[in-house]
Amino acid sequence: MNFLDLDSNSLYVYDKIKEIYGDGFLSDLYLNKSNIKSVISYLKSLGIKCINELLIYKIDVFFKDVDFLECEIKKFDVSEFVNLVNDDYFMIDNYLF
Amino acid sequence: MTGMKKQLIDKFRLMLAANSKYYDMFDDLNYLLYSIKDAPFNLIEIEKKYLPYVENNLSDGAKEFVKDTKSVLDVFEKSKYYDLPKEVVNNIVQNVYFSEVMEKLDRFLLHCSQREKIEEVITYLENLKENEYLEIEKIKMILINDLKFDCRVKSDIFLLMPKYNIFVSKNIENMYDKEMLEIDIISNEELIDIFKEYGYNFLLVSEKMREYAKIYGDLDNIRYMFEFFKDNNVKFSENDEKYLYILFKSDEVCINNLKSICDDYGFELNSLLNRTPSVFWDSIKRDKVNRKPGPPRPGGDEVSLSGSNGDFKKNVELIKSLGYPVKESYDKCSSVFVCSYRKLKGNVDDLIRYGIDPNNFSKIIKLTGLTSSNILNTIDRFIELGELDYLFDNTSRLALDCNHVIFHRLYKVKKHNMENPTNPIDYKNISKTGSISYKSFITSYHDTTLKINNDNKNLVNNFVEPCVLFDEDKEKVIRALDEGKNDDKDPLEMSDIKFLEENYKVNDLVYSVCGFTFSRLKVLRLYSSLENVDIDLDDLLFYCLTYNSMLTKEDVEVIKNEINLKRKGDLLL
Repeated sequence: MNFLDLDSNSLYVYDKIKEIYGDGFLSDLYLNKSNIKSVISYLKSLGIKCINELLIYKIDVFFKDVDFLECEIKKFDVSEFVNLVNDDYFMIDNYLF
Repeated sequence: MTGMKKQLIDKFRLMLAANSKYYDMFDDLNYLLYSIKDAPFNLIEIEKKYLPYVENNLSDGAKEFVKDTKSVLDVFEKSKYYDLPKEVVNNIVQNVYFSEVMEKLDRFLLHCSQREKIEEVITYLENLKENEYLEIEKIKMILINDLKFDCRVKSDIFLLMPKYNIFVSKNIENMYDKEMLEIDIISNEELIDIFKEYGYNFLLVSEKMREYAKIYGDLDNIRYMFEFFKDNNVKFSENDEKYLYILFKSDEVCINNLKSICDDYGFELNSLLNRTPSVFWDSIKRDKVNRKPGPPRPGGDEVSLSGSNGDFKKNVELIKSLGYPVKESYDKCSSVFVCSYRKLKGNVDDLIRYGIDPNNFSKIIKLTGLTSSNILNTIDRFIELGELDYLFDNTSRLALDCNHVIFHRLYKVKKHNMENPTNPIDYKNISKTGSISYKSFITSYHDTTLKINNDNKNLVNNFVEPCVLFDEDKEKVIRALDEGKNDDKDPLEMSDIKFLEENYKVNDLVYSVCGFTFSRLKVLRLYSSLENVDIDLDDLLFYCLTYNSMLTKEDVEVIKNEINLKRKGDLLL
């Protein structure tokens, strides 16, 4: 099971997501896989490295529309955003939630 | 398959036979352990009456303990402590002289107590039906706890177990195929017609979803859903799985649930359809097929596609009752709305138990923090590491597992900083706005600075489980913690807690013993839950204090000695 085409530790990531959010949410994840993959690609293109951690603990980021995310993130200093989120993924709350 | 089951049973029987000489020692060693624990003062009596008995009756393995015990007695007899009061001597003997012997005995007894469990496994295997999977996790622990048996046979068992389950899976799949043939499936023509009636082409639907519709769909429900879509101007493409699953899985009951939520809280249908399609159906399907766990559904979905209709409704009501703006919260974190209601409610109750005012939830706690798998243990861990500010700076962090690698790294860094005050590691960022974050070597999944990662986190710092409990007690403790929230009784009125309060309380959150920080809230909640449980623990207080704390063997000894000496001292006063 790697419907999000994760690079590494995919089993761990899906297990943790299931543990935290439950089976019902896994259905939503699966049925939104196309959007989620687009967000993963976008965040990676910015230089975000902690994709797995964001998927586990800040999964709602990946349910947002990519264009919306781009607009939101561009309101800030992008390199500062990337550095802070790479240092501590919970800091994404300060920008997007 | 019968052959595989027989092979497994034979291997466990072999294990039983080969270990019998150890298992036979269980009663004697247990008696020796309790003699030391219960009445060490009368050591001469133990030496004279008991040791010759065990020496004559036990195997070479057990004699090792007798030898250890004797050497301790010899040292003790010559020591100056012999003239001290009985309680003090008991304490010294138990904790200073015999600690190593008792530890060895505990370990050996765990091994010796395996007989009953292996016999249970054999009976379990014998009674296993053809379509029942092996519960590998349960059996695995027995193999891991076994200290003496031949590793090759153990590894054979480890290899056989998953193979056995693969056979079971194939067997179920065959049964499942037969079952499918007996199901009254919808015909292709019926589906083509109903799709056509509402302006869609069933033949454009993927083969996987066409099969799914035939087996799991219900014509009345599908018609109801088409009407629902039509009434709400929802149009979709024939290859959009999200809508197709809703079409084939939802029904009138689920839709009525959602309609009332949308009316009451202003949810938009499109938003629900797009972000959380699982709210359109429930895990318990009211259809013609009695779904069974086992093989993948036709079409080979990678996930089971459970629904969350029931949880969604209850979660919305709970979130509303806590004062969060419901619609706005859904827009920000829809994941919380579809997670298990039981978990969400449990976490809310736990936080109230920890003193969070229900009226302040929406001001203090981020909704995503409420998805934590073990919220109180996570808070305790932050308290014990002295990092509560970091947690409350952003309560999404409540979702961190209390065994997360972050905590192991923090422990290492803080230990380094205590030992090297002139050369500390800077592990925090404080932004201009005052918000706190950790540097990436604390939070990242892969860390090359401290070299503590998920695979080695439990080994690097050498933490131990401070209290070794017998299995029976462990179960009682877990059950009591799950069920027993003894809220009627004020733990502060209990004598053990009064002792901690008087000697070690730093503030409402913390006890400090010899420089080690313990969550006061943890001790109070555990003690009040366990106080009335019939647990044969030498020291319930010590168990509650050190439960789930990050402690090495040496730390445990220091704390144990301090607590015991202080308690004896208090008694003498």
